[in-house]
Amino acid sequence: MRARLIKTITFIAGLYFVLEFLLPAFVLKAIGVESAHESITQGVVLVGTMAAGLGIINLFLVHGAKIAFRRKGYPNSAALLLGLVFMMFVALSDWGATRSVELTGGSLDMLSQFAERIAADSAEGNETSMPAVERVTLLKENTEKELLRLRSEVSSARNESVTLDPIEETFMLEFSRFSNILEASLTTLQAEPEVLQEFSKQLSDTQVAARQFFQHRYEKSTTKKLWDFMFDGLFVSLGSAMFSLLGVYIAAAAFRAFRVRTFESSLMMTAAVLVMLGQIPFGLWIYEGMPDIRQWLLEYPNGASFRAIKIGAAVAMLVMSFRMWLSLESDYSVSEEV
Amino acid sequence: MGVEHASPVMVLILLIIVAPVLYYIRQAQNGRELYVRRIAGVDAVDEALGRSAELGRPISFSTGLTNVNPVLYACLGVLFYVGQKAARYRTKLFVPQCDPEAMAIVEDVVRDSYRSVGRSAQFNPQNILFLSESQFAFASGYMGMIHREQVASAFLFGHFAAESLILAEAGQQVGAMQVGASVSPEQVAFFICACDYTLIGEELFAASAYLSKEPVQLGSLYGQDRAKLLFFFIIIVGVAIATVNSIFPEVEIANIDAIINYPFDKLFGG
Repeated sequence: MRARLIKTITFIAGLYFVLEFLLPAFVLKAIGVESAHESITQGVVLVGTMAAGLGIINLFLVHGAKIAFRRKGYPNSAALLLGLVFMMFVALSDWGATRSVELTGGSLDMLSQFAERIAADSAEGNETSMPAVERVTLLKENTEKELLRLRSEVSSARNESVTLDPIEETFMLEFSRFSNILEASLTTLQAEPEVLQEFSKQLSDTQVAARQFFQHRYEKSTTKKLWDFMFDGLFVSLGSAMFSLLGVYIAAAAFRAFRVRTFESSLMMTAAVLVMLGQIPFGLWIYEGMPDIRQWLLEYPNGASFRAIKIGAAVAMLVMSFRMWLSLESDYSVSEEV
Repeated sequence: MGVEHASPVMVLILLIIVAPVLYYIRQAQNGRELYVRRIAGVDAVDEALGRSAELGRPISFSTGLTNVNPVLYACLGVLFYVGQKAARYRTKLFVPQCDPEAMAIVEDVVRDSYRSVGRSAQFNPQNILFLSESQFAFASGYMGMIHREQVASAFLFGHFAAESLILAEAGQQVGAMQVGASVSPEQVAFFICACDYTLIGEELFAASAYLSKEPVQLGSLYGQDRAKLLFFFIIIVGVAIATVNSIFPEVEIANIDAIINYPFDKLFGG
């Protein structure tokens, strides 16, 4: 029963993607499949994202057991799990901080768009469910409310620091200036397109100034510094260190592979020496046609074998895909036992 | 730019590829003997497994950066075989993983392989190790595991990128017998340098059929080899057209890719 269920789901899921590729675009449009494509693709991505949790569970099971039973190397496992938890904490804190900066003054942005819409409706003479004067009153009330909230946010952030650095001071003054202009405009706000467009610009300027202030504070926050240290300072640097090992390993592997023992290895070594010489100025000094020899070797014998491997693998992959889709695969992929 | 929708000729080519595969699978299921040539790298799988058992040291089987795709399924056949042998010889099998989705499938396959030879109790899910999703973090985890466990044989089957040589060199350093297999031509060169045996491109897909002798896999291998004749024919025609066009420019025969990419819309007068 379990095997049959898996086979049926595999077939139905695969059928969509097969038809999506095989049927022409106009047919897909006619049957309404095209509009559903994005949702289906997102669903596939979602399943993949959920699987990431499996990796974390495995790490906790394997290394947790090592620590619990004090097996050999358990301090390393403890360091790994501590690192994982700490990195998750830092990443979540950083995400929260950046999100909060992104949302700063978001309502002012919406109000700015609202002002522009009223201006456009007035200019084009569009009929709306609410008269323009009432919409302007609504805009005024909400702007006052949002401005008050944003000012209190900025002022409480200001009070958190004993001193402000010059850049922070500049952003702070900028915000004060734009918010004062906005406040002054509130008294003269009317349902006229030019006035509303100017007001929309002032709303937008105030929002940008507030965001710049908070962005700068985030840049110098401990959360950001911790994230930079953990990600750029440790994770990326360690990855680069691993990558740089390749240089040493390539030399060691080349030394083993290029020892002239057989006809094939001598051929390989000759080709490698020619390609290397064609790449460096010294090769040009030996013989001026060296770069052309290198190019020929890479484009023709090498290119042809690359294509042969790729065509062979592509056909095999296509056939394997069909086998998977039609569940012609071996029994190990659909075990009956639970 | 990739192809978004198939053209009529592409659909035809797909059918021509799939038809012999289905035909030979049916033939194999009906008991027809299908011959597969010897592949040195696949024969070496048994040798490497035997070596591990003799030395009493573990086996490592890595699918590298492979996620859930046909390459993973090709590797699973070999992994199943390696799992069965490891269970029979009572040798520890480590399967380091980079992709959590693939890990779930791999764990199931290794468990099944132990169960199929009646050694379920020996299976330890903690030997299916998730190292990291990040390429070089995975490589460093793999290196650490190989050195700590002193593996006697290492199998590198699947999709690999720049980390391929780092993985293969780690095995070399502990004196492990290594069999590498990759569909990526760029990484094959590294495996040839650092591994004892290398399966190139489609040999990875043939390995499972060769080891299991299972009718579906043998038939499919036979069919896909026949289907490749079509590509051989297309290449010959393409070269002929290009040659004629270059010698007699006034003839202007439509190039083969124009025929293959001729869309449905134009066919139906769109």
